[in-house]
Amino acid sequence: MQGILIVIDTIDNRLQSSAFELLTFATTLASFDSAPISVVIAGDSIGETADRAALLGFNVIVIEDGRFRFPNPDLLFRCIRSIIESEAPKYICFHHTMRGCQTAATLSALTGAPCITAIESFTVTSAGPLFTRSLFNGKININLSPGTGPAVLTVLPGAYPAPEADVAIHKRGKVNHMQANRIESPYLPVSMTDSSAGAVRLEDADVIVSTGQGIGSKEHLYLIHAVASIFPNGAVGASRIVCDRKWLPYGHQVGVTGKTVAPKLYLACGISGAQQHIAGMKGSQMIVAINRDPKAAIFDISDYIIVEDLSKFLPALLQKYNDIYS
Amino acid sequence: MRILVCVKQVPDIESPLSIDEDSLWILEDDRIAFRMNRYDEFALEEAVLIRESLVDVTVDAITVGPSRAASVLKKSLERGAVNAIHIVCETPGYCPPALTASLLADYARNNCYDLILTGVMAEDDMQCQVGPLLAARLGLPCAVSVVRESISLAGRTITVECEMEGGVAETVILPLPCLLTIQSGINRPRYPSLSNVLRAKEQELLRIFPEGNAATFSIEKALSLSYPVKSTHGTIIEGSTEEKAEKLLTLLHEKSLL
Repeated sequence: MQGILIVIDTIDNRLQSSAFELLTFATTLASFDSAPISVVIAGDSIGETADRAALLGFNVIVIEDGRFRFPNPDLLFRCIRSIIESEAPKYICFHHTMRGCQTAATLSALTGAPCITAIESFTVTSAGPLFTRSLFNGKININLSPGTGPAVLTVLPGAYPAPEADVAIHKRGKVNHMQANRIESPYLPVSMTDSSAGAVRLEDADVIVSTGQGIGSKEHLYLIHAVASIFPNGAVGASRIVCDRKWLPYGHQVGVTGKTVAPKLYLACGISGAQQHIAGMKGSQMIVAINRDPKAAIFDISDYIIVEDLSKFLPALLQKYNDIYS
Repeated sequence: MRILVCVKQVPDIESPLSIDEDSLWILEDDRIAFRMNRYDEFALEEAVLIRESLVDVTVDAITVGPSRAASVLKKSLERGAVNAIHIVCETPGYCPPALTASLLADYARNNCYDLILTGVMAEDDMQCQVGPLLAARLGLPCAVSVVRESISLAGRTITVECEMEGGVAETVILPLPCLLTIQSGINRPRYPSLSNVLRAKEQELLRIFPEGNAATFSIEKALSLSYPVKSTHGTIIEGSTEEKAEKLLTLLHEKSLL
């Protein structure tokens, strides 16, 4: 039992923005017991992505199957189960995404290995690694030990940086193919929709003006749109609850279940700072938060703090902007 | 059709939370309010909506937790669950999802459910584990983060739409029985009706006291709790509303953002 198996997340053969962060996590973990790292990538035509991982020096196991055209966490778990029977890795790592958590949990239940989720960092003790994750919206951290046996891990997106694409210093990894055609799965994906297509390109915006439930009602959203429009390349983001209330489509959502963004400026308006939101935007170059609650968690990660009621502050901001700049 | 909904009692995250003397768990004093996990409210509502749209559907609510967790079962009955099962687990501290799932599986295995629903995650620890763990223990197919479902009784299948990150969703067909974890926003959880409130008051909960379990799986151990180190100390922009607005504009201009 040795080695680290990491499972890279893809949707429609596209690498998810934070997917290669797992390579950094695994490399850091491996540096303590010099364990070999293998990368699993599944898709229906995923050779190019596999080559990219191999170019970074990692051995890659590619599973190409038509049933992976759309994400299939059930088939993926069945494939990985057959891989770990021969490879017997000590750690199997996933991203803490919906699909990653599903496959991780299923593997954990069927192998009897513990599963530690949403890992943000770890320390190494004489008894092995101790993984840190947060609880209660980031108010408290907990240190969890997987014991000495194998373990399944999910890593919070954004917790580790993606490796720099520096081909020269690495020896190209090997690419092996695995056949999944004999593996049956009751999980039958039939189509995929992308509600974010066209309208919002949060990833490309220089400035994101993001709103939480502090905006009060759908009728006040025009203020957020107006503030976003004063920036040359601005876009409107939102917290989960704003989308749940149908004030904005889910394509605007920033956070663990939405988009992970890193704009030049993130202007958080009336966002309390739920951990799942913060995980999606803490990499922003500059964070300015406006909230009427001086204890709002968002202020803990903000560069600039404005304690104000949005309904007063945003009109004042727009008025001043008009006075000065137009 | 028999539906089981798994609900969890969580501390209200807005309550003042502090770490206990041994640094092993939070201090559970009377300043902490407990309530039903918000995601489970959506799961329960979805089960009740299915019950209302099809004939002969039973909805059971189940929880694993200490005595105080009975209140979320009462809430479930008030909102339309027919029966409520409390697996009493008084052990304080961190409860590994694998343990919760194994206790739920022991009950569900003998009670032949066609559909099991859970919230997509619990608000307090956001593990997203109990649903898929329970499905795996029962050998059931599972779909997570479901935002829409439709049941074909004739074909014994269910078609679900699963929300993924970034506004992408996939449509999946699963055979029944199966387990779904329900994402927020799928419905609008209802307020309890008076008749259900009265019924819930009278109704006994089925209480199960699990025997000392001989776990056949290893579980992670919680070694300590700590407060996160705040990494940045932001600059507070002060003044009147207008002054703050002007200072912010100046700042953004200096940083070439405007």
